[in-house]
Amino acid sequence: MIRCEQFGWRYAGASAPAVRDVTLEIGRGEFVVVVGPSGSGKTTLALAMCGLLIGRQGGQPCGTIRIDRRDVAATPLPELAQLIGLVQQNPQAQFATLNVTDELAFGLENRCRPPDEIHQSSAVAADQMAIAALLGRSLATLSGGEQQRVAVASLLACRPAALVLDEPTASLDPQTAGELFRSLANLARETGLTVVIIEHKLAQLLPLRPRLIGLDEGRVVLDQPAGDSAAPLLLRLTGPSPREVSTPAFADAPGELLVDVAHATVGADGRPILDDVSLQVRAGEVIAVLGPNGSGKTTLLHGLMGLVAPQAGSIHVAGLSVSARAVSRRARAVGLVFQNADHQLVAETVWDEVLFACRTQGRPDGDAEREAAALLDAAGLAARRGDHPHRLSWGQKRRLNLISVLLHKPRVLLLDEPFAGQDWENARFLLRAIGDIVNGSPTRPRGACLIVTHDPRVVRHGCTRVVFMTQGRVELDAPVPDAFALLRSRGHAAYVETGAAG
Amino acid sequence: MTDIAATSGVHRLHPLVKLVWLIGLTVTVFRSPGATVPWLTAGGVMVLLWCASVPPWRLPGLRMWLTLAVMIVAVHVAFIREGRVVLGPVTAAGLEGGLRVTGRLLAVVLASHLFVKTTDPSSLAQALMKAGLPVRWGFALVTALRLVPVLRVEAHHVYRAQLVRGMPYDARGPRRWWLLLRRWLLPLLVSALRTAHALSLAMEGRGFGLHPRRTFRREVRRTFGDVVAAALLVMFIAAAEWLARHGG
Repeated sequence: MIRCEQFGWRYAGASAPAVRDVTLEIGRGEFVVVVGPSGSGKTTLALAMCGLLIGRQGGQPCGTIRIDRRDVAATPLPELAQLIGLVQQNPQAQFATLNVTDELAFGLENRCRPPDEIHQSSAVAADQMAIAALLGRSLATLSGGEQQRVAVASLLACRPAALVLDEPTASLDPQTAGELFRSLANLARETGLTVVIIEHKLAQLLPLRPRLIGLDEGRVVLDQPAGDSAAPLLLRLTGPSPREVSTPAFADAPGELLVDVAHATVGADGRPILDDVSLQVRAGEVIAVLGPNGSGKTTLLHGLMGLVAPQAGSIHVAGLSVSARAVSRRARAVGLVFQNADHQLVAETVWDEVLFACRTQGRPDGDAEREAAALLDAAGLAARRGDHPHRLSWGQKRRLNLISVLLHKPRVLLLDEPFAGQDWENARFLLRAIGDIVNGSPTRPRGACLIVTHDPRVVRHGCTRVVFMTQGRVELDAPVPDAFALLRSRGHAAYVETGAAG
Repeated sequence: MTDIAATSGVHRLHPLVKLVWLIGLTVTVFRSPGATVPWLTAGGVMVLLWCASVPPWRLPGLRMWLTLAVMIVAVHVAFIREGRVVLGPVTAAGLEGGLRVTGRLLAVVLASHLFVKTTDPSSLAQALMKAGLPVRWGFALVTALRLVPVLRVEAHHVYRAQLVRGMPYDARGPRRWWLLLRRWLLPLLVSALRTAHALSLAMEGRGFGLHPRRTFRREVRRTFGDVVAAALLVMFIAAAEWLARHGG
């Protein structure tokens, strides 16, 4: 179905190829997972397979990719789209219409299929992805998981022979991600659809026994069915196992109270997002904030930053009520990293980006520059300091986001899914940087950190306490080992399973 | 956005009939030399809004439109001193001029509100494409509507992300606007271009552009109600012309 022969691709202006010497053959009905560290060429390979690279982006190809014996480079994209489809990370950016039914029909209408066939194919695709109940709904009203299912179904309705998904669950909670993976594995098994998924969430994929293809520095270094024999190499590809590396150690006794949320209620459009939430965080603590999509995790962080005001109750951070000071001035004491890496990039170079917050806060440049250089070096970004931030990979941008907040040493760190799409090597760097703030130094008091994450490895090895939220309320607040046991017993095992890779 | 959950008679009208009504009404109130036709039209549209379960007081920016209307009348009354004196410095010409412009403004704003709230954009685009509009232009309308809320959310995120890094957007004065222009607009533009690029790939990846025409899963049918609405438009224009000739 998909055949790569000595395929390589070098982006315009890049010093090295993103992908090189890739020779692969993927048959009909195969369920394939592509793994590898950040920057190993996974997305480049996915774009090339779907005809979105050669002739559409600046760069130099070599070798060939054939889909069903048709050369990708010589086939117009709309024709290739009848054979293979790509689901991107952000479903919002892929929707061409305004409601679910129109979205499912879109591809078939483009192919001038008759209305009866459109209705039939749309209904089948809706059944396959279990979204029949969503038909007719406005796309703007769907949750993240529902949007991703609609994005997959809109491609399935066109009945392609192969589907490529580039980190389709990056923003989904583990339960929703697991359901999506199972649906895709069933489709491959039952309908003969070839499914290629690029993912870091191996814990949920390995039980589905996919064929694993590992990339490292643009080359295929692993190609075999899942099994024990693949485990050591797999661990190397996803970074050293947490058991093999040192993760930050935190002082046992929590210190002064830094975050005090008392019966806070926050609402929007007449419905509560946070409902009577109470939470205390002390210096030296790293809190993992877990919960399903839409449970209020991001709103909790925004409430602590002062971006949303509580309608009832109170929120105090670092001794100040969040309503007492302008948000821009609170940035000295509280650092927030948003979910989307691109939103926070404002400067023209990586170097200016790191120093941005220090400069807006009037901190002397000499000290800040020395620390910035050290942090960039530790993050592996020293060689990119003159580049535009938007030219970095996703993983590099996330590290840059965090560094730019760490430099002015806030006492409270609020991180919204900083580990999404990161391999363990990068996650380890982020955890060490967080540990530095939380543990303090002889000249700097200890701080605290709240991390919204869906990665159980990060929770187990980098956090001291778990706050689990559902429907705007804190359902569970306990130290990590106790919380894991409680989550398992309450039917939330997907949030604690670490699988073979962790 | 459209209140497509509602199913009044106005909602059920063919989108092109509603579009022609909007254009016809706008031309008529602007052609009318007096204040009577614009105000009668604005009143009629209010009744239609009521019938379509779209309360006029939910008009976005209602306070701004009303303030603008009062200001227009005040400016006309203050600066037009010709004609018969009605009260103190207020002349009939000033009053009528203010009421005419205000009536036109309200009639067009309310009619546009009625059109937007009762017309499914997808149906409108489909009707336009069936009427001969090239498919690419038709979808330009749909994707623009699709991207407006997405980009609005993006703009909000970019603003907040910079605010929390100490950018004093919450300060007052001209410096705030200068900062917004320099620091907020560029990331927003980058974000918009990325979104548009991803969308164009996703559309082509589902065969958009494969054929110059396309089929549609549903038909936007013409009904007897559309014929009645078209006839009413002709009668409305004729009545407005008659009133204009007889001093209305």
